[in-house]
Amino acid sequence: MVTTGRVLHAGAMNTTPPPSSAESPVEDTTAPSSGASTQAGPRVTRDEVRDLARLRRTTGDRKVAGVAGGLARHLDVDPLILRVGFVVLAFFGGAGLILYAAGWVLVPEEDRERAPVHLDERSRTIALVALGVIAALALVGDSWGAFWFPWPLAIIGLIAFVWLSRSRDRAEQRARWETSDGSAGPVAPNAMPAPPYVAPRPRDPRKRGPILFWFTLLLIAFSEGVLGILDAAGAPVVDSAYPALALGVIATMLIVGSVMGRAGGLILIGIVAFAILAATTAADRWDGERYVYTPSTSDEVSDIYTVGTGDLIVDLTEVADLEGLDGRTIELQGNAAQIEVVVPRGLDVEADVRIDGPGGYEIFDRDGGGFSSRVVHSHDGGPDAPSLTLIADLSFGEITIGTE
Amino acid sequence: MSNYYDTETLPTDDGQSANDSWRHPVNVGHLVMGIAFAGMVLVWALIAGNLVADDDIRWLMPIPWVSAGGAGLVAMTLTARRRR
Repeated sequence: MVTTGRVLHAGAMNTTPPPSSAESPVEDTTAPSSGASTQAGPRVTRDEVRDLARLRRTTGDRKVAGVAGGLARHLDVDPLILRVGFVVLAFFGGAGLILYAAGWVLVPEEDRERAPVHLDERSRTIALVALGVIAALALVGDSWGAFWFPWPLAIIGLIAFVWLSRSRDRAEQRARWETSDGSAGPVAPNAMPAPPYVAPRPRDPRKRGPILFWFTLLLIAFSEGVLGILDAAGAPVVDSAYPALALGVIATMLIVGSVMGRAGGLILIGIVAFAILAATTAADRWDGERYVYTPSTSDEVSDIYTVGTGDLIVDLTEVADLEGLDGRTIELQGNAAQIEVVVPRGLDVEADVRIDGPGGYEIFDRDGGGFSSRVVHSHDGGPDAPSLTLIADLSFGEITIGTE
Repeated sequence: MSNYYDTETLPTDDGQSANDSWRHPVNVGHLVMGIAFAGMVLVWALIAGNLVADDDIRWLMPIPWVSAGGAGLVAMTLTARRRR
């Protein structure tokens, strides 16, 4: 009974969005207790949103695999919001890529029963929730390097797997068409009823010629190999040259593919290559300085410490006369840096920390981060402890202030 | 039901090119991203070659997007004019 309802529902979802009238199949299938509005806002109830088994990827409204389109229909929101969300989240620990890949391989398309990795409805729901949790962890970790897992390899493998699955599906579909062409005679009495006719979408005139994706991957592999040989032979090759070469090949093939052949999928790997290029270029160019200050008296403590790019460590635990720090203010400034201040236990600290761009802070027992953070925090060093003010200003990076 | 199939109109090629040609109307999305990526590689080459000072790098950042956007606008305009 439940299954029938789902199938009927999925069928209804294949059409254009349902009207917001009371007869809408979206609204009359679940309990009215969830309080969803029938006039404005999302026209799906909480129970419907939680029923992930109903989720289907769209085939008509899609940019890559129809995940955002399908999810948008499931949640009854504009797909553009979700597409932007996926792209933005991709830059935060790769969470967007994990979520999108999960949807791609686990959720079937709307007009077929099986997903690329087919699970029953219950297992699929569990797997989607589990991958959602992994994506959330990646988002919290906020870095590709936060885990030992080789993300780039995994993503390339995933893309290859899905691509292979799709071409196999297409081959099966073509084979089915070819066999059904010959049997267009009278329908046998016990034959399955023919599916309702769906007008084929007109062929996109821009999709003509060979698919360039695999050729491009091979070209990248070949050229990276040549560059690797040059590197091994002693040519001055910086690390960032590898992703730059890959991005150059992708750019060339995209420009060629814009007027000749089919360049689908190249933008996605181009974005991955660009992310790696940006990270390696920054690492190549700005190795950064490392300044460590360990003053032993209060006179040696400077009023201002600056760092351009790199690490700045100010260790005040060796200061013999803490009373000399009483009432003093130390300023710490940096561009793209990691600033760490270690204070002795018997010192009151008033910290005023500002990070203009993206970054994180850990100030005694308080931590956080994000874009453009400002935090003022006090630390009690005990009764009659000398008081020190720390003012830290960073463009982006991380600030840590703590006791030894 | 077979009538539907019989009367379906197949897309034509506007007589511009043969069916087996690889050429097709410009895909502006691919063109724009291709030029943007190429611009990024150019910016990388200038940075990696130490041809620009750190303070001047910010002037390079818009180059990929300006060139890609410009090329996209030109391609769209030409395509629209040709279609008319």
